[in-house]
Amino acid sequence: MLTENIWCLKMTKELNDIAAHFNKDQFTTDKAKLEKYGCDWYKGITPNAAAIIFPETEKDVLKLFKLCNQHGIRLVISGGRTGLSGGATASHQEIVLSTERLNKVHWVDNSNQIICQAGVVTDIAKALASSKNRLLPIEFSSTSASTIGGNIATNAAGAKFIKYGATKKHVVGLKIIMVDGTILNLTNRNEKDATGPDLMELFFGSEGVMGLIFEATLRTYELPEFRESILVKTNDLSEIHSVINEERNLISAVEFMDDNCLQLLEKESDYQYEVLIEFESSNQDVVDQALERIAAKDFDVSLLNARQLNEFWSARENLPVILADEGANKLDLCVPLNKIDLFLKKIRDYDTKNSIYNFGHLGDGNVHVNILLDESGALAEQIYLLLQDFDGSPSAEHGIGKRKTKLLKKFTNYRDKLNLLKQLKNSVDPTNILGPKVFFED
Amino acid sequence: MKILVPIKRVNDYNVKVRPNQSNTDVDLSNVKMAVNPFCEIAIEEAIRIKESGNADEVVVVTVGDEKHQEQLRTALALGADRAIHVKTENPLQPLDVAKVLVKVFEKELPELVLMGKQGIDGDHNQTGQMLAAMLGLPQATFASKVELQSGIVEVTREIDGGLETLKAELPAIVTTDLRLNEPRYASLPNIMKAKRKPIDELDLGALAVSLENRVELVAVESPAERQEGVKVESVDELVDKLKNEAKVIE
Ligand SMILES: Cc1cc2nc3c(=O)[nH]c(=O)nc-3n(C[C@H](O)[C@H](O)[C@H](O)COP(=O)(O)OP(=O)(O)OC[C@H]3O[C@@H](n4cnc5c(N)ncnc54)[C@H](O)[C@@H]3O)c2cc1C
Ligand SMILES: Cc1cc2nc3c(=O)[nH]c(=O)nc-3n(C[C@H](O)[C@H](O)[C@H](O)COP(=O)(O)OP(=O)(O)OC[C@H]3O[C@@H](n4cnc5c(N)ncnc54)[C@H](O)[C@@H]3O)c2cc1C
Repeated sequence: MLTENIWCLKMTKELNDIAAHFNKDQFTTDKAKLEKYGCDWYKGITPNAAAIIFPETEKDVLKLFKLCNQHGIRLVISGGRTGLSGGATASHQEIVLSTERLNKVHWVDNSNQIICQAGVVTDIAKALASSKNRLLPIEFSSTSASTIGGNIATNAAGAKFIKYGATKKHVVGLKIIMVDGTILNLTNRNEKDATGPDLMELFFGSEGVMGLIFEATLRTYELPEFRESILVKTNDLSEIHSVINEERNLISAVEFMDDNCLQLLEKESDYQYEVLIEFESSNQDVVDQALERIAAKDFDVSLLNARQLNEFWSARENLPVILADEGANKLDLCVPLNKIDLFLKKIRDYDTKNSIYNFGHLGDGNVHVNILLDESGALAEQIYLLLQDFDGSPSAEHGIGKRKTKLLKKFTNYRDKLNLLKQLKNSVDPTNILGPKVFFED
Repeated sequence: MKILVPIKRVNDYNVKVRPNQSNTDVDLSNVKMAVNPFCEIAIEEAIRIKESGNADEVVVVTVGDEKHQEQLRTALALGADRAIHVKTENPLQPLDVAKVLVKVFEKELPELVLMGKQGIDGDHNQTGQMLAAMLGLPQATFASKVELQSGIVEVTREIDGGLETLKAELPAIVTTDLRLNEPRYASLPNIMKAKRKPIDELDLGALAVSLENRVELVAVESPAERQEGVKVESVDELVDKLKNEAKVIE
């Protein structure tokens, strides 16, 4: 108790010192703000931030890093706080560096690129691209709140991964502020660059522990002019894989839901799975020919019109929300593509209480396994063990954060990667100021 | 019994349409087109009536250029038996469409005409009513339920304050509202088969209807851009903003 009090006093003195270096409205310890900015979408960790700081310039960031180094105060970088792993949650009296005011964005005409500061909301960058008739293909249901910095720091991937890849594919350049005050410009100004390893990789999926992503240059893509979507109902996912393999160049999304999910959405189904496959091309004929080929197969397959598509996607977006409300434990798993059918089959075998709901991005091997009525966690444990047998990943797209550190440690396949990451982390942030307890328990 | 379903080709309802550069019309070049959603409901209802044994044939018809065959083929894929394409290069206004449909009606002599209550493009909500008037037949608009008895159609309509049920002698014109049914998915193999089905073509000129544009489209403009809203954290902040920024309260 005494030590805690002393700590608090010491902290207050230091916070006052830090506060004195910023404008009044850039620093807050207001209780409501601490709770709001101290926490991301994952509510399993109690937010416990010491203060929130809103830097507006490079200088502000440098000043803050310097003060934190001086006082040994730890920092959590926070973007749109839509992360699902507690990576942006301050749980141990860290100061939260909110990128909210680092929100400048501009369009580069001759290269069709966007230069964004970290805190630019994803949908703003997407809207800027679409106003120029270009596409920024970062697509999932939280882009109205997530930030470009957060997307890069989690290497976010969504429904269109199969065609466009994860966020890192769109990043041409990064400006990073390291915790020792170094500013790094890592921009690939040329298509090819054999000047050593691509060190931007150190920051893709780095979840706020390697340095602050201050600014990013993003490439944009041609708008696909023609798009059609089919819905296949099946008991046999190998049918879908045959389509994926044959038409891969045209496919921009493959979303599946199992019968339990359909039931939850109050939809009738005589099949185990419903799968939506989306095709995109700049040439209608090419899409039509693919549809012809698929029609010739003996599938239960329909072409969806606009209304039916809207219904599908809104159901797909509602599904995680409904399951979250029901209290589902959501596992975000990935298995090698050629093993996904067997993996799903095995999970079905485990599901004796009919309490597992599977949906996800079939074309990437990414399954969101949602488990209800598993208080002891035994079922989840069993599935994670199975996942190890399948050489799978315990986090396909939602990161590790503070939430999955214990889990990741169990996956022996990741041990070497974690060790190297630790070494790299130590070399750029030896006193562990940025994102403590993210990736590593200590 | 034969059901005639007139259908309209409109912009896909997910597409945001914009005015053309000179603001004389909406710009539909390169815009995805589809069967008008209310017409899709009419097709679905006709097919359900046929499936229930109360009709023998569903005939769809549309008026427009070559591209309108796409929408006829969609209807064929959904289960229509026959399609009629009245060919014209120039888009027609509702009264002229109704006049054309009178001719088609006289040729086909269906017992029931089921059609959408309005197109989602022009929102006219006129064609069914004018068709009924010109044919001197009973009309029941905005149907949310359609039931056939011998020689009679019973139609339920959603009106302010409740439901209204009408009975009309056949032949009759019924226009469909949104909640009448939920149209089925078009099976992909059926769509491909429909591509090879014949479509009866009628030349507009040969139908001897006097056409006349009575309404002139003067201008089309985008709505004024609205500034994006902001979220406030508390009632106090709201009051503060209303007072000091919006200045709508003292
Ligand atoms: C409804 C919903 C659906 C989602 N769907 C998907 C999906 O389909 N695919 C997917 O991949 N994710 C998904 N997510 C997760 C999340 O939206 C994404 O990971 C998003 O990219 C996080 O961005 P953010 O700005 O909210 O980051 P935050 O939550 O603020 O932060 C996430 C992590 O990044 C770090 N960080 C943030 N900004 C910076 C920066 N400038 N520099 C360094 N580190 C930084 C934080 O410290 C934290 O560790 C979803 C989330 C929700 C709530
Ligand atoms: C005629 C000709 C044409 C070429 N065309 C191209 C071209 O079109 N595109 C292109 O990219 N390159 C080209 N190169 C360059 C070269 O062929 C490639 O870079 C090739 O990948 C080098 O392979 P290597 O096994 O010969 O490597 P080496 O020359 O033996 O070594 C190259 C580097 O890699 C390191 N290295 C080698 N093996 C390992 C290992 N196992 N672990 C760690 N480090 C290792 C070495 O230390 C050295 O630094 C060309 C070369 C020639 C002679």
